Amino acid sequence: MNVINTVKLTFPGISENERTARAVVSAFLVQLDPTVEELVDIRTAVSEAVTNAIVHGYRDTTGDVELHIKLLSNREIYLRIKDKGCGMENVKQAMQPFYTTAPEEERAGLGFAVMESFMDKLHVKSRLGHGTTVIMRKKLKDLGKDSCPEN
Amino acid sequence: MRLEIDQQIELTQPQTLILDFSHVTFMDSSGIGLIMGRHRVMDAIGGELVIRNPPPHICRVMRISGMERIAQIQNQKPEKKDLL
Repeated sequence: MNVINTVKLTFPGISENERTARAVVSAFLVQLDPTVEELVDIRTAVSEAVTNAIVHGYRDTTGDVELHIKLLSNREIYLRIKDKGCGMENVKQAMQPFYTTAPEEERAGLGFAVMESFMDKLHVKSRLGHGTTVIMRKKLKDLGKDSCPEN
Repeated sequence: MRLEIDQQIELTQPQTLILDFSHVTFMDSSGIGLIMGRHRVMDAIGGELVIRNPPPHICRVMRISGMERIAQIQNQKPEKKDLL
């Protein structure tokens, strides 16, 4: 697939930038004319990944989060969220629903479950002490097709 | 927000805590954590939790968490008096 447009953004891993990331994704995706549901799905998934980077990756340190978005010619969205924070020892365990390393902060442990549910593909790479990379993909509906909301 | 809600619960000891999502435009799983925490607080005082008017996209996030098991979810049309 050809990349028809791309944007890469680096921002400090502070909670104010969760909203920044959502706004950038929304603004960038508008050119593909997504449905409201598609836009909300992708914004939410990005929000989860960025929050993970800030809250967990940079729990005891500071650092930047990198957001890379690619729009592909088949109306597929590629997203990569990368941090150089503490990383995870066991990615499989971390991805289990309701698993959290911060229960005292009232974290639901559902970030990855939401990403998996709202996106078509999710891949997580992490190395303890070196950071985490989350890659997600979602194919938007073709333009012009009737889309009836699912009940 | 957690602190504000908990302070009100401490002060009023309500039987029911209603979280009204009518004007909430975005929520990810961080919000689920907040709701689950408020459920624990209400449970500790023998009260119940109601979630009112969550928008469809927030409903989807709630469904992933199984929120309906710990809170009553209500969708209400505003009464005329509320619109005046």
